[in-house]
Amino acid sequence: MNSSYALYTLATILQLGLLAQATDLMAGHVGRIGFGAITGSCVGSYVYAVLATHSQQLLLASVLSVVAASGVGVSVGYVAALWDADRYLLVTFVVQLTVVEVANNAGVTGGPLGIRDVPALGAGPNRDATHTTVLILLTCAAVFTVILEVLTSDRWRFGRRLHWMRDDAPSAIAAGINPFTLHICVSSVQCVIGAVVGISIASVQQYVGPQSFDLWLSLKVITVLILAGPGCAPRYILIAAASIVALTEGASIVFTDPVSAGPIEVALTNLVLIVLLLRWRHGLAGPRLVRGGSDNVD
Amino acid sequence: MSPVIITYAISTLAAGLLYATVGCSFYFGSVANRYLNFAVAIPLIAVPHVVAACAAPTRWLIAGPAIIAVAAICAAGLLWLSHRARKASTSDGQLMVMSLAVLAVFENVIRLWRGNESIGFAEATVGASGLSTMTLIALLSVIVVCVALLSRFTPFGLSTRAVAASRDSVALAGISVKGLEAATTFAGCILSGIAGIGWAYEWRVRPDSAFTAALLGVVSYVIGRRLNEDVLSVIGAAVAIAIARCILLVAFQSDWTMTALLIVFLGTTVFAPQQWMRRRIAVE
Repeated sequence: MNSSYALYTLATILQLGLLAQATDLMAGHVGRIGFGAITGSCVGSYVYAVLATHSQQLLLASVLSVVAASGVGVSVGYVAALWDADRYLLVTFVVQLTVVEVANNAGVTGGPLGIRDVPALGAGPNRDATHTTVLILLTCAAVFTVILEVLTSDRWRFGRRLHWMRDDAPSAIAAGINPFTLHICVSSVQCVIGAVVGISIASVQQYVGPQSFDLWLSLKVITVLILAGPGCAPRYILIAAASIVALTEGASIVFTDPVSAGPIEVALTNLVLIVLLLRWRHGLAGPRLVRGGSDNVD
Repeated sequence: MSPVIITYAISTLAAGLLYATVGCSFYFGSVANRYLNFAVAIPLIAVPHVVAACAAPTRWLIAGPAIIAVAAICAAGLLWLSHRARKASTSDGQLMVMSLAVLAVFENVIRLWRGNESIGFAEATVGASGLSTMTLIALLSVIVVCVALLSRFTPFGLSTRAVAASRDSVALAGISVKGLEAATTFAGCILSGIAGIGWAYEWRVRPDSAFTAALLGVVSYVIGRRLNEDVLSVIGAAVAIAIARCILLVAFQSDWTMTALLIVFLGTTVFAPQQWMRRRIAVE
C-alpha cells in the first residue's frame, strides 16, 4: 500500500473522529445534537488559511483561528442554553450553511474556488506536510480523547453536572447549575476541537473551499456519532470513524469509475445513517437513556 | 416601459410562483408530520428526470401520470420511514436529519442513473406546443390560488392547520391523524413534482437542485409559519424571497441569493417574530 495513501486515510479517520467527538460533547453529554463543531471547524480552517497565506505566520494564524472558533462556540453555546434540542439543531444547521455560503461568495475567502496553496503547519524543506500534520493530529486525538474521557466521566463533578443537565434540566437549574456557563463552556471546547480539525484539513489538503465543509461532511460526522452511540466513551467514536472511512474507501476500491465512486460513497454513508436512526440509535456503545435531552430549559 | 424591466418582472413573477409552489409543497410535507421534511424535494428532481427519459412527442402526455406516480411512491416511502422512526421514539430534529440523509441518498441515485448533467425543457419546446413562460405563470398562478383556497376554506385545509396545533384535539374530533398525514404528504409531493417541471423549464434541473429547492421551501415555510400559521403567509414569504433575489441580482451582479436567504432564515430562527407577536398580543 502506498504510504502517502495510508497517511491520508489515517488523517481522514482522525479528522472525522475528532469532529464526531466534539459533536458528541454537546449531543451525547448535554443532549443537544447539532452542527456546532463543523461550523467551528469551517471558521477555524478559513481563518487559518487566510492568515497563513497572507502573513506566513503559521503559529499566530493557528492561535487566531482557534480564538475565532471559540467565539463561534460562545454564541452557539448561548443558543444551546436558551432553546430546546430541536431548535438548537435547526439554528446550528442554518449557521453552518450561512458560513459556507458567505465563504462561497466573499472575495477574501477565494469565492467558490477557495484558497489554494495554504501553507501546512509544521512543514519544512525536508519535512512532508501530510506526515507532520498526521503526527500533530495523532497527538491531538490522544490528548482530546483523554481530556474528553475525563471531562465527561461521572467520577468528576463536571461530568456529573453535564449529565444532570442532560437528563433533568429543570432540577439541575434549581440546584444552582448555571445553564449558560455550562453550555458555553462545552460549546467552546467543541469549537476549539473543530478548529484544530479545520487547521489540519487546510494543512493536509493545502486547500480550503466551500466544498470542504458542505452539508454532506456534517451528515458523515453525524453518521459516525450515531454509529458509536451518542454519549459513549470517546475511544468508540474513533473506532466508528475508522469503520465509516473503511466503508467509503472500500466502495471507492470496488467501484473504480470516478463518476460513480463519489455518489456511491455518499449514498452508502447516508443509507447507514438512515438504518442507524431507524433501528440502532444506541450505536456501538451509547448509553440507554430513560429520558432524552430535549427538555426546554426555559 | 423598458423591455429589460419587463423581462426582470416576468422572470421574478415566474420565480415567485415557483418558490410559492415549492413553499406550499413543504408546508404540506412538513405541517402534519411536525418536522422539516427536506425529502419532499425528491419529486422535484425525480419527475423531470422521468419525463426527460421519455421521447419528446409523448413527453407532456407522460408528465401528469409521472407526477402522480412519483408523488405516490415518494409519499408512501416517506410515511413508512417517519412511522418507523416515530415508533423508535426518534425526535423531530433526528427526523429532520433523516430526511436530509434520504435526500442525499436519492440525489446520488439520480446522479448514478442520469449523470451530473442538467435537464431543461425550454429548448425542446420553443416553437412547439410546449410551455411558454407566460403559460407557466398562468398555470402556476392557478395552482397557487387553488392551494390557498384549499387551505383556507376546505375541511382538509382547516384540519391540516389544526393538526399542526394539536394532534390530540384533531384525533378527539374524529379525524384520522394518520390519514391526514398521508394526504398532506401526498399533496406536498404532488406540488413538488409540479414545481420540478416548472423548475426544469425555467432554470434547468441538476441533481443538486433538490437541496437548493428544499432550502428555499424550508425557508419560506419557516418564515411563513413564524408570521402566521397559514399557507398564505408561506406563499407571501416565497414571493418576497423572489423579489429580494431579483433586487440582489441587479444590485450585486452576482448570486448572493442563497446567502441573503440563509441570513434571513437565521434571523427568523433566532429571533422568532411569531413569539414577539404573541407576547405583544398577550400584553395588550
